[in-house]
Amino acid sequence: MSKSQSLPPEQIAFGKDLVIDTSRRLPQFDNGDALAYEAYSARNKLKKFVAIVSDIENIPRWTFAATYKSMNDVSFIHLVHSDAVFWPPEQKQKFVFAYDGDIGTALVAEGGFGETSWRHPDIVALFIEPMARMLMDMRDKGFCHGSIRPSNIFCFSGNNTRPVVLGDSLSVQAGSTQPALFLPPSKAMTDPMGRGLGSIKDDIYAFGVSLFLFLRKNDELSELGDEEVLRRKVEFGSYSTLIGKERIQASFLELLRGVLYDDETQRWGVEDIFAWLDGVRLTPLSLAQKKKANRPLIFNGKKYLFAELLAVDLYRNPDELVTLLENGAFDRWVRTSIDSDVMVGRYEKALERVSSLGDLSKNVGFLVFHITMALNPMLPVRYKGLCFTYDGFGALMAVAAYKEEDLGLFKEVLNLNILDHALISENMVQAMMLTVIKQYDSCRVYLTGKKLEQGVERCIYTLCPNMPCLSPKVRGSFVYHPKSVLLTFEALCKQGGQIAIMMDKHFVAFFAASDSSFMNSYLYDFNSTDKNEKISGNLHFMAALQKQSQIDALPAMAGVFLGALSGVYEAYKNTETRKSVQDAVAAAAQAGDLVAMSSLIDDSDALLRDQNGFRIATSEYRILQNEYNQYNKRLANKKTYGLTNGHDAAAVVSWLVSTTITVIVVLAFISGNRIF
Amino acid sequence: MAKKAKKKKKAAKASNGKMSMKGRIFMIAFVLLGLAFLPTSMLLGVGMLPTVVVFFMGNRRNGVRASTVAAMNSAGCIPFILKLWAGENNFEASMNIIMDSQSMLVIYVAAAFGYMIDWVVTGLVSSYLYQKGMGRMMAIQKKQAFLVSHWGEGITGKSDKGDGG
Repeated sequence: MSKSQSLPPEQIAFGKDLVIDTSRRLPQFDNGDALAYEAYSARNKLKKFVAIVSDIENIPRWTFAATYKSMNDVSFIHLVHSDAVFWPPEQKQKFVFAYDGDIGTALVAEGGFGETSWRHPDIVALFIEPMARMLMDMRDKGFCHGSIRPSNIFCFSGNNTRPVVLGDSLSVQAGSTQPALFLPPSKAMTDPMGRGLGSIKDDIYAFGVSLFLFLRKNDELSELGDEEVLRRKVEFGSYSTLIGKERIQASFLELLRGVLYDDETQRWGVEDIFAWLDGVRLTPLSLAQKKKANRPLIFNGKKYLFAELLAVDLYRNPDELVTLLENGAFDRWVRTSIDSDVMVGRYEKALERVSSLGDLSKNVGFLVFHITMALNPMLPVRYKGLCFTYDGFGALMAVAAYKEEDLGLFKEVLNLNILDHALISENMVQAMMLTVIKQYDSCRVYLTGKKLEQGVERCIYTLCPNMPCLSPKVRGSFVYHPKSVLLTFEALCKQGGQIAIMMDKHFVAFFAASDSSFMNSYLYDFNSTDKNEKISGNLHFMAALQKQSQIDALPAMAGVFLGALSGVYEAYKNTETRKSVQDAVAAAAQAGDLVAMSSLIDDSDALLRDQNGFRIATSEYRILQNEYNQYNKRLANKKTYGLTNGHDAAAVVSWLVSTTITVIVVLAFISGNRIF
Repeated sequence: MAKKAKKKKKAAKASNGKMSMKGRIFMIAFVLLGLAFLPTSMLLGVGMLPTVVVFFMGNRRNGVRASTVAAMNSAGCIPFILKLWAGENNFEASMNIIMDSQSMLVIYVAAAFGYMIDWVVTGLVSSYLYQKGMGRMMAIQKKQAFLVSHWGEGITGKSDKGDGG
């Protein structure tokens, strides 16, 4: 606290001993919208760092920070610290990744495709070998970089002994900041946030494009727009599109052909790159030949001879597609002009699925999706303006939710099983595919569920694990783990106006998606209609988080809970016990100890003793009440009450007196004294 | 069950006004004894009239009151029975005692004293018991209030508030 107070306003304390200078931008380290700033060590101001600041809508990959740190290769930019931090210029929290600043300069400026001064042998030693090692490391750790491009690769100019350093990748979703050129055609046309979690195959492709850019002598590509490059990639393949008329050394061509192969299953892997480095000649891959139709189909004013290319453009004019399907022109073209039984089979299945919704024009988006997938299964999902891969849907939906956009379209995608159909075209291991399909099934159930942990919120966090909590309560904060939840709520409680029921649908869904077994024990209380159960559930949960996060005191939160627990104490029936618990809870609240408060209001032994005592007291009360009622009934008539006993007593008295008199009379008679 | 049935049968017979065999034997013995000691029987018959009147007065439950009166009534008769037995013990002597107003006054005043005992003692005892009952009711209410103060309204079963356990 003292450190941040002593800093000038444009500087922010970060982590244990880092300071971010918001006035000193480092644009060469930017990763898309995640902007880089200079940071320095508070202990040694000469030690510089790069702080890359990312907003929620970039979905920084904080879940991968630990994996990234475990990477062994020195060519990865060294991650020093990562956490959410309050960003004064925008008055909200952002996520920051602080990297070691000693990484040289970018090989190529962002957006430019300039040449390097490397000669061919240098390229192998300074670029291909370190990249191959990094790719192997990433493959082994199950990590996808997603930002491999020359502008994100750094070197020390003039020093040909130090290998390149690969820049930041964690501050954005994998591939979301990649220019289309560095993405395989299947991902290049998606929305940036819909590109999915990425894979090592995507990184290998991006490495291939980067390598090509270092090797080329001419710059033909800059004359073509992204869309044209993409069309060419679909029509001729990535390798052919990029190489074109470029004259590149034959050995490199073999490598480029392998890593730029469009079919992921046949694209070279890390082992193949190492084999190439070792000089092993691999079987050259033959470029896939697309089937050309024997007559063109005119669609949207253009002539199409390749079904794959037509699939790319179908979304541009869905109404014309409906017309072509209804008048049979499209059907004839697919069945007779393109000689492909496989494609006809896919086309027939697509028609079958579309017809399940009735009239073709009823859901044109659904029709476009199925026909596109039938013509070119490699393409991403296109549905009513959305374009994403099967694993990119979650991030796209999460960003839409963050921007408070209507999620109706996303619910439609889930309900229409569009993701399941898209998944079928992926070359995925069956076990993995079943897991993903199960996840989609769960999401459909969540959509219809009414419980707190269900709803579209649960789908967001299930399908996008990197999304921080989007609860409106913590808008402006980057709440992504238990500690940040507690610190955010503590700050909010200090401001005032907070209520003890802190867990809303977003929070419950967020934690249920990240750790369902931990969350399950609290769901009963959260879903309870009883306010006191909800409050105690919230306290128990926050106490568990406090214990987990090892935060000593949360006095403001404890104060809010203390003010709302009056009804919760009623679980204790005995007024004395209740009073002692109340006093103990108040003392714990003063110390900010939610854990103690939680255990006090829910001490199972004490509660059991109290309940047993209550049961005994209730029984005693009833017995007394019965006795009272009997007395009340009998005493109702004062004149008759006790008469029987009175007569009995009178009889006894009378007989005693009578006996006494008789004895006296008899004795007097015997003694000769006559009374009468 | 069989015993209960038999008892019920007996009670039914008694309610029909028919006397049991034991009662019949007892009655015959009583009549024979009365005839054997006729002067004494006559004296007792007239002297114990207040007891008989009390017995048949009001409802049948006055048996205990009759017993109270009978005790004192018999105490009043004893001196005159002894006088009869000490004398000739014949019908005439018995009639003389009966016809003597002083003797009969003594006997009947004794019976009245018995009635008075019944009235006074019954009143005292019932009043005492009533007060005792009231005291117990107060104690119950106090104890219940204590329980409610310690355990809340929930234990009364009237409120759902504290009965959540």
